[in-house]
Amino acid sequence: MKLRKAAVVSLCLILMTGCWSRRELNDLMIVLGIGLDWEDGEYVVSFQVVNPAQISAQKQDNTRAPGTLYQGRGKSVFEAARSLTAEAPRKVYVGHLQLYVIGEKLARRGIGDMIDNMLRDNEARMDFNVVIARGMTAESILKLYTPLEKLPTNNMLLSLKTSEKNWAPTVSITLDEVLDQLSTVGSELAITGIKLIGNKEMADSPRNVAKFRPPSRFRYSGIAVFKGDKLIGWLNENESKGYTDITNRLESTSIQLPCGKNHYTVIEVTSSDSKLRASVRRGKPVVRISIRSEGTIVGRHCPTVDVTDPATVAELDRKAATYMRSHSVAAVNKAKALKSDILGFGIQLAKEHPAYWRTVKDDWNEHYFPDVQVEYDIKFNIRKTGTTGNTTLKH
Amino acid sequence: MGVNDKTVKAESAHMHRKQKAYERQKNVTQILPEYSGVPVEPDIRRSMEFILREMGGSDDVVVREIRYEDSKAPAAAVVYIDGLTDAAAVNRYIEDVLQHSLAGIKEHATDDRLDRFEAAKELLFGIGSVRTVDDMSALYLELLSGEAIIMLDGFDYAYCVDIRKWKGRDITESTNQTSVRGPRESFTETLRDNTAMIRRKIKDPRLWLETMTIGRLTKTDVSLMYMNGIAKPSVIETARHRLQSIDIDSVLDSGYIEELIEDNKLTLFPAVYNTELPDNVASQLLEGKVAILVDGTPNVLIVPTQFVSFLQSNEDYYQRAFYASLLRILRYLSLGISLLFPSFYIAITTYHRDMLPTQLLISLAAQREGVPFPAFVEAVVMELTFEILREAGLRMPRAIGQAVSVVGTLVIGQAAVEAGIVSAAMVIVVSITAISTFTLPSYTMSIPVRILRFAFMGAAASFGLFGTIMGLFALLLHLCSLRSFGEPYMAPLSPYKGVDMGDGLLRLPRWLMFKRPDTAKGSGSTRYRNRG
Repeated sequence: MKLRKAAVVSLCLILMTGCWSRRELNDLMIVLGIGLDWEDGEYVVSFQVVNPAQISAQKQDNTRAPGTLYQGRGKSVFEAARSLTAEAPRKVYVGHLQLYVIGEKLARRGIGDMIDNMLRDNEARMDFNVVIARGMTAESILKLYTPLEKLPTNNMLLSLKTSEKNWAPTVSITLDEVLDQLSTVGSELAITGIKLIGNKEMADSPRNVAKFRPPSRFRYSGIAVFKGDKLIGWLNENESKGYTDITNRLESTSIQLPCGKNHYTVIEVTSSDSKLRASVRRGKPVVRISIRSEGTIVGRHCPTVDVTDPATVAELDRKAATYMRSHSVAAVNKAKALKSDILGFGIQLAKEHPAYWRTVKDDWNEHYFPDVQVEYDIKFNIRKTGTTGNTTLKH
Repeated sequence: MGVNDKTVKAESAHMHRKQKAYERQKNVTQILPEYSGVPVEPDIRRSMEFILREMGGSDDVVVREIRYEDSKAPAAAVVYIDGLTDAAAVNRYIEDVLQHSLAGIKEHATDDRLDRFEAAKELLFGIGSVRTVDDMSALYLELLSGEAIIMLDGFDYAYCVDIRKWKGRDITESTNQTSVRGPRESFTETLRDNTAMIRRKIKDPRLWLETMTIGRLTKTDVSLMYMNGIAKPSVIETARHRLQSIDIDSVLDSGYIEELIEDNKLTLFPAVYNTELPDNVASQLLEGKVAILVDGTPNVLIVPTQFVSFLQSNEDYYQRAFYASLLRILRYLSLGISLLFPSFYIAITTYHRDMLPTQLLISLAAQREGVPFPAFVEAVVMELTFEILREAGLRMPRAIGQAVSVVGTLVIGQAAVEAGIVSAAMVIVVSITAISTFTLPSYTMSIPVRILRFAFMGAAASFGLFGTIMGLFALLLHLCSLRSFGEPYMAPLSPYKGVDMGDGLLRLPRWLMFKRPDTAKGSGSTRYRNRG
């Protein structure tokens, strides 16, 4: 009797729940990249959806694109996503989202709303990267055919991560960091920008990758400066480098020190640590930026530079520090000019002098930040010279 | 042939004691209730007539009559079953002895027939163990066990001499449990050979043996073997009691007995260990377990048993410790894989796609394009196919059996993938699961694993990982509640005994395993002494 009851109950459990929230893999529309634009008063959301059969190692069909771009329109991102089910065969699955591209026009209007939507979504994670499409729509970025990696978002994502590690002027920011920075008083958001270079008309055609050097390519350029959630300006390459230096995001980059006409001593930065120290002097905030970097000499193009001589190396240290200082100065000046504290001076002040901070935080960006006195304490140490000292090449 | 009065008396007293003990053991009156109480007739001809008639005149019952030279009536008769008894011994010794003894006794002209009988018995001693029977049921039991019955005219009891000999299987290598290093001989169908093999491993007088007869019609001999002083008395008593309470028509294999002596009859998991290898039995006897040997089958039962015993193999103790420990860990891993891999696959691809890396997700999604069935149906179909092929492979003749199972599965899997009925990933999952099942050393344990795999797949398809974990909890609760002959089934994992874990999960080197495990009565007693 007990057995019968148990059998009936378990059958009911299995049959009546209907396996809810079950979605087979081939019912998914896997979205890897989302692009947001603003047009005619409503959101235009582009979903770059992968076509799994094209990506997988077996049966590749070169006539079809590796993915599809679906577009929806609506007053909110959610409405746009749902509206595109009128065209798309399945419902979107954003669990594996990799890249979130925001058009510049939309960024200038403010990105707070869509960040909120992404945060609330129970399917989306917070580990995807956010970038700004510079000077163009997000849609055009997502339609690009890229060589080497079939899926453009993958390509862009990897490029973002790699360049962040090895070439300073990009930062890869994930959604949780965006949320962090938008919520903190005393720091402003900064996001990397991406744009298409080359022949833009060929971007969305498979002929783009038929050539050895694709006519249309993407490139990360510049860092967007936000005030609140609105984009207000861009940092150029030097200023971006300064930004990464100061915010302790620098891992590796390249420094060129001229040593003659068109000849340089090239140094690879292998590690870098930066610290901010805030203090208040005579009622005015003073911030001390200390950067400690280490490097390796990777290029000696002038025979006049003797890398085995400690005095020469010390001289190179000083020159490298000056080089980095120029970038940092440029970044600070630009931030002050834009009146947006993207460098985190405010937070540092809040941590070290909370009483003072409470009096200035309401007006920080407009009045106090531009007047901050900045001291630079940059030290560079060259540790190695590669696998050889002075080469025997005679120039 | 000098018969000394004193010797005869002493010997008869001794035989009397032995007789009583034997009868107690054999519980004679329960064996053939129809014939119990029917005495052996003093008139030898009537007895023989009875015996032959009740057996329906079966022509493998051989009767040899011995007559005095000058009389027509038989003075003695030997009855035996051809094929079960050593006919040559009958020829050579019994007739000889009887001729001589009868002649000699006649010579001495004693009138005391009792003396004559006892004298004959003395001579028969030289042949094999001799017992007396006075009851037809006991006589039939001995006759059909292969002993020769010797009846002397005028006496209402007969002798039975143990000169059994029949063609049994030779001691060969085991086909089911192979070993790379270690003894290879396996049990045969003859009880005496099996007990002898165990005795050869343990040459200690404390290895005790008790035999009983189970089965109304088959009257199978079942022996209980244990090390007195190491095995727990409660276990021995329980085993003895349960065996004696079995009232069944036939016992053809130890499996019959296994089902009837289990603690918990509603579980899938075996609570009784069975093996074909004598070294396995010997090592477990030394740990305080009790072995049950059944005549007619090479499978020996061992009680009480633990879950971890089914994941241990004898090889572990003969190979080096580190390697054996790694192998054990591998076996536990395989157990997990063979039980849970398909369920995890179904649960993750259907409910928890976020847990997969993106590239893998895209690859799997690509494979599933065009497949008509949901993942659960695919999995069940493939698993069922595998089970069918596996069973088919068992029944096929040796030569093509292996080829069919391997080739069959590969070909069918490949063809199904190409036809678009299942996805390639599913074939891989199912193959790996099937192969992991084969690493379990004990076939008896692979059965619940295979059955529960389907249950877990159902749970995963209905409730995702939540269902799988709930299923695991339920399984764990069930396993921890099991007992095997009063001992906890999940020892040494629960109740946790760190000292015994050395043999449970890993195989610690011999110089670290000092004490006998908890199953032994003298738990804590030393079994390894370093002679430094």
